[in-house]
Amino acid sequence: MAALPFTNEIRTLRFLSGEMTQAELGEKIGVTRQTIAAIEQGKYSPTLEAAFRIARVFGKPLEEVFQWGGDQ
Amino acid sequence: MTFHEKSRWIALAANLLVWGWYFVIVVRALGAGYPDEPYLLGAIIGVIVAMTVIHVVLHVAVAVWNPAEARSEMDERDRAISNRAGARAFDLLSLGLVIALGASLYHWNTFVAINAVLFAFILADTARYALEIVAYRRGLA
Repeated sequence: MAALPFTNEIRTLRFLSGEMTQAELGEKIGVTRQTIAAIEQGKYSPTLEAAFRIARVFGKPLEEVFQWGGDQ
Repeated sequence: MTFHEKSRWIALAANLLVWGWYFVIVVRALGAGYPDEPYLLGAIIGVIVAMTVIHVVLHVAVAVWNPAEARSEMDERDRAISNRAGARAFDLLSLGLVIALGASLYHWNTFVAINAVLFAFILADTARYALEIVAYRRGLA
């Protein structure tokens, strides 16, 4: 499976948010713990809506949660 | 592993075991030269009963093991995996049906043609579950 062209800081942001668990984050944005794990590991590209919801939970702009690492 | 992934494992195993058993019987009947149609009708009924029992028993067992997880609806990742696997399985089904129906115009009798079409459906269904499981395990990047 090809790697996603972007990385994310969700794991760090969870840690900085009182060691929030994957299940807690998932519950806040309406996905399962396994989906949060897949996003963190770069195994699943979340929808734009889910990406915005994640950023909103941490009170950060989208660019601080997801960083583009592709060619263009 | 989410409830939905476990459900796909159950469906894949059931398809391979039960439908696999049925098609072994069909191939043996063809090898013998003449299908024993009452026996094969019984086999089809057996398949339906076995599939129902396997799905109900195993899904109930999984739900009892983790009730909260079983109540969860499919999330966006589940839907994305299902949609992608479904599209590929439909391509396989289309190809299988064209081959089965096309070939039946030439040499096959009704028994063979019906089972070839049935095989195309089951193959596509099984491929769908397998593709979903691969996507759950390896990712959907």
